[in-house]
Amino acid sequence: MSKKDSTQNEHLEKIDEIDQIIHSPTRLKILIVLAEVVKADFTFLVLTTGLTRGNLSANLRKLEEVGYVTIEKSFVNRVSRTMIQLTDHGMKSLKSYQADMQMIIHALLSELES
Amino acid sequence: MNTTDSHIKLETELKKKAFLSFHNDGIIDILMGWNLAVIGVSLYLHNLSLLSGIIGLAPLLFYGLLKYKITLPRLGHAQFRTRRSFSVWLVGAVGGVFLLAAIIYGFFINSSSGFVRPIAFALLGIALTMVLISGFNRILAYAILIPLFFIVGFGLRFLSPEMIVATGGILMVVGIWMLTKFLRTHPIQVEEENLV
Repeated sequence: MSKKDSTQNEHLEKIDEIDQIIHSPTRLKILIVLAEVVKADFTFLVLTTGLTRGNLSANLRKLEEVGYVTIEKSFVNRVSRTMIQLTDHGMKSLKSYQADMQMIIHALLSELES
Repeated sequence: MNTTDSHIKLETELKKKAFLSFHNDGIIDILMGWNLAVIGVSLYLHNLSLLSGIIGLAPLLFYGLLKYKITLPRLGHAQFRTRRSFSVWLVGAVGGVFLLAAIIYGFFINSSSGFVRPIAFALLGIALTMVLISGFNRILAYAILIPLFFIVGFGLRFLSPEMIVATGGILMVVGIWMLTKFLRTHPIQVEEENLV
């Protein structure tokens, strides 16, 4: 195996190590919006991400399971309100994902150019 | 562009989108129109009494309630970080300086000079440019344009009570049209129990 092939394999292996929870476009979109606010309610997320309520709900549950977001349900004047907030763990994971992706893309582009 | 820059840009865009959507309901336009109309009627009747002031300002007390009942259930709520970009501060500071200059000029300096007209229009032009730069932010627009409307209008002696009432009426019609459109395009979002 040539040196170039070995480097390529290393980068391909790094792709396998990428956080698959964040790598989903839907969840990535949700996390990016949440990273820009202190907290947001369910309706705000529906409108900013453009996701359906069911899809958003299912993905938020997954993000909550891994501890990336916290979900608080309350009642304001008998109307249900759900506030969602990105956790510190979620923020760290998002930054780490961003760094990993940048590194992989940079490495692959350098190889293509060489 | 580095990561911090792209985050700031995204946050600014998100904030701008949320802020503009939040004020696209026409409520502020209806209330501003009402206030102008009341001021116009008061001037027409030569009556700037406490009562007309109360009638004019009363709807502003309902502003928060209307937003809470009409806008929030439709657009949702997000708490943004308080970070402000330098350009926002700069636009705000320049706006403040020009507004102050316009107020001082309009109220305290005798307007017999031949420079009144060009200066007044220059101020109005700068205000309009700033409003456009800020993405037609309604609050900023009204905060700048309403005082200038009176300062320039009275300074140049072309503003009559009828014109103030007509301007208020136009704003109210525009506001009602916007509110109707907003209610049609943004159905109320009720959270279902089984979601999340």
